[in-house]
Amino acid sequence: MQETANNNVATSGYLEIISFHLGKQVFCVNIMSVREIRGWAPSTTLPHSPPHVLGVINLRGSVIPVIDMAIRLGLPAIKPTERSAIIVTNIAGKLVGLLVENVSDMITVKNADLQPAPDVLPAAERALTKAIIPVDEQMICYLDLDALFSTEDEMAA
Amino acid sequence: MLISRKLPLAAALLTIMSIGASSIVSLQIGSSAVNEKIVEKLEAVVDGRRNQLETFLANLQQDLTATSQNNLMRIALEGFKYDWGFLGADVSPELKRRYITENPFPAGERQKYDTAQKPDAAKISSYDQTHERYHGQLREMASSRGWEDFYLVDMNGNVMYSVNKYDDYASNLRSDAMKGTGLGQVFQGIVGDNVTDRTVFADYEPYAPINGQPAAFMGHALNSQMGMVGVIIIRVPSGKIADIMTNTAGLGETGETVLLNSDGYLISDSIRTPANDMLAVRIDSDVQRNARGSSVVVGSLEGYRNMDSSVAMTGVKFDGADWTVAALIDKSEAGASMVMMRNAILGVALLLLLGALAVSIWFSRSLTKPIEALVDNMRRLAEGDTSIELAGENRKDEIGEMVRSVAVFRNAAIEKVELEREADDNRSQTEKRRQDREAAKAEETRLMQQAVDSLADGLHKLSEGDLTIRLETPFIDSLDRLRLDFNASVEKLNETLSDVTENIHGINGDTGELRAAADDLSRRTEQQAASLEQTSAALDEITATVKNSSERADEATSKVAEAKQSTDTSSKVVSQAINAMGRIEEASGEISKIINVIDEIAFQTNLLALNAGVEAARAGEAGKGFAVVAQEVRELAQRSATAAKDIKGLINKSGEEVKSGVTLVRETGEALSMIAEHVTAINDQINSIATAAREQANGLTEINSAVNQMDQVTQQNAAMVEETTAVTHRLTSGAASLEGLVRQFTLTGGSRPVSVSAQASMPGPAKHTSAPAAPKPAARPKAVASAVGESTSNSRPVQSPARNMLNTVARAFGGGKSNNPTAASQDDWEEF
Repeated sequence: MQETANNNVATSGYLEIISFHLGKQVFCVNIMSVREIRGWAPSTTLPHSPPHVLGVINLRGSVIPVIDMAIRLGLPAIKPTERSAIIVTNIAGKLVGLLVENVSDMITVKNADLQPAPDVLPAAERALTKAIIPVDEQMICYLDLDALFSTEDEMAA
Repeated sequence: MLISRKLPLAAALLTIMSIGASSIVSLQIGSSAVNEKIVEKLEAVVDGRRNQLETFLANLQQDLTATSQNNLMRIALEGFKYDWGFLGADVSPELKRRYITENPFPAGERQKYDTAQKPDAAKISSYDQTHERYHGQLREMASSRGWEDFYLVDMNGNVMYSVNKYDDYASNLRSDAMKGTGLGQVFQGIVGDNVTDRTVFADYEPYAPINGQPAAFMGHALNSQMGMVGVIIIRVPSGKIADIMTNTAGLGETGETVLLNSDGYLISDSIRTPANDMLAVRIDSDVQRNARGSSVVVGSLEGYRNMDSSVAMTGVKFDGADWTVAALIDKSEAGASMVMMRNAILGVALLLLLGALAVSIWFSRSLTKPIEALVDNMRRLAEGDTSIELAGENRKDEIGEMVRSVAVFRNAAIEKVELEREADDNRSQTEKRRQDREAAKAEETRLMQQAVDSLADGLHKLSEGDLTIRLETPFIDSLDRLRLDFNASVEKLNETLSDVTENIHGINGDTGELRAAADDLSRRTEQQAASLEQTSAALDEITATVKNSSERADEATSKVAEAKQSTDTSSKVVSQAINAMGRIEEASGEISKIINVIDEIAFQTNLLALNAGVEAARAGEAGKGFAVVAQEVRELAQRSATAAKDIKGLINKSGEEVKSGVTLVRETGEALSMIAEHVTAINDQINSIATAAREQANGLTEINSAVNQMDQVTQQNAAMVEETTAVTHRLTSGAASLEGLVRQFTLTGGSRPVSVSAQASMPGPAKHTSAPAAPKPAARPKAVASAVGESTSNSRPVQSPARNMLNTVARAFGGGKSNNPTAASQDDWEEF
């Protein structure tokens, strides 16, 4: 927070992230991808949608899809409560809502702290995790939303 | 006539009539039934044969029609026609020579000769070749269908071909010789009338070419597209018809079925006769004339095969032929079962008749025999013989009744004789008894006088005081009891007086003891009076104590009432406390709601701060300051959320505390109400103690009065002792005077009463008795007088004051629940 947060991660030495909980696991996304954070509201279910696509919500007149991140990441589904949140992200120019258990923090980390994900998964799954960030004894999984969404397109296709 | 003859006769007549009537009826019914059955059977058989025959003929027609439509026939005929033209003018003799006279096979087997063509012959006949070509197939066809012969005839009447080659082969059917035969008639019927679409039939007639045996023919036109080209003719297979008609199943030994033509001649050979009957035997009967239709006609037939037979006939219509099928059976065979039945019935009837006769004779014997015996007995009874034996008294029927009636007569007669004899006996006995009585009476008078004298003597001695007298001489029986009683009376008197003497001695001794006892009593009475004084003083002290305890009980009652009021008040306080706790719970709920709202606000604030942070981050360097503010806001929101969570925990905890407080207060309330119940119970107990104390006080008052009464009674006892002493002295003098009186009697055993003068000589104290003097008469004269009165009257019981007192005390301490107050009240003073 003391240094300038910049979109260009490579040039600046710092990265600003928003971390959130899914079950006991902590994940994070780049704050620049985030457009807005909302409290949970019921979504309209779409017919024949895959299990992780919860439906669509009305965001000030524009309709955006909501994805259950727990299911998308292969974790047990979370039950939405009043304390759940939807992180509205801008991925490749499209708005997508991510349902998370709760938003925990806004953190600034050094790029040097980013550690690559272990090389044990197939390439498609591994692409989801951009890096692992250890912060105060907890491991935060830094998600690559572009990869998430491009894979989403492949799956939908 | 006697009953013993009448009964069997009547039975035999009845049996004959009933059996006869039933036999006739059953024979008639049987006969008609058998006849009906035979007729039915014949009808069924004849109907069956007719159906078989019609089926067979129809099949024959179909076969022939089918054959005529076979191209082979037309081709064969054309072939034969063509060859016919090459055989010259004398075609008929030529062919007859080739196939009949030069046929190596005998008549009847000529069909086996396939061709007249000699293998080594120089000249070849085309007819022989054609014959050889077709004969095998045509022969096979004819034999497989059972046809007796098969002809191919051209339109000119020439018999071009025949399977069996009899004399009709190669002849002309228009010639005079053949025109009249069945074959010629069929040809004429087809060609002359131009019948192309059906068969033509010629009935059985003797046919010369086969030695005059009957033959029937059937023919059909051979048609080509140009019209009729020839005729095929078959000889009807008589053998097959014979097979149908010779079936005699179900027709017994003599029955058969035969086929008749319209003139009544048999056209099937009868199986029952050795000779060939076809067209030889004729059955001329009205039945046959009536049976032209399809219905079955039944009748009888005489003359045929020399027998009288039942017959059923029905007509068979076929293509111009008018045949009749007849089924017949000999009447004697049909009726054979009837004869057997009649014989059996007659035999059974005879047996029944004999049986009925035997039974009726036995039955009439059993009736008439006892009646005869009874008649004999009655006659003897009428003559006065009562010794008759009556048999059959136990029978249940009318004869038994009669025997019992006769028995009553016999018994009456016996009884009458017995009564007369008894009357005679009675009269003589009465006379003898009267004389005996008179003699006895005289003896009795004498003995009685003797007894009276003796008794008078004894009484005289007794009046002189002599108790030793005894009457030893026995009296007569009736008065001897008087003597014994007299002796017993004297003895008893003697014993009594002796006892009296001894008792006087006893009384003298007792009187001394009595005096000593009276002195003793006087002393003890004084001691009792002193004890009573002490008792009275002790009672006063007890009364004071009891009164004191009664007052204490009353005091305790009032304390208990106060305690009860206190517990009631406490109960109200407890319920108020419970209500207060409830209100605290409600307030906690309200606080919880508010906290939730605060929590919600914190959450929303956090979200807003996050969004602000996001915006700041996006703004880059320009939003840096704003990001700091957003972070601060987020921390504040998180703190307020944490604080709200803590408060919620505290509120929940206080709610639980309040709940346990309510439980405790409720338990306290229950404990208080239990205390109130106990206080009420204590109050009851104390009340009963107070009641008991009051009753004790009452009881003590009564005890006091009882002690006073006891004192009075003690005074009366003292007076009583004095009186007793005086009475003792009077008793002594009385005993002395009694002894003097007894001494006047002379007693047995010579014992004299002992003198009592020693005691009797002390009259001093006895005289004192007349003037009662008590030790303390002056103190309570009235009490003494009443005491004397009581002792002399000795009848009115006085209630014991001491017992009275005890009862009262018991009642006081037992809450008035004395076990037996009535029993106690009945106890009287004398027991004390």
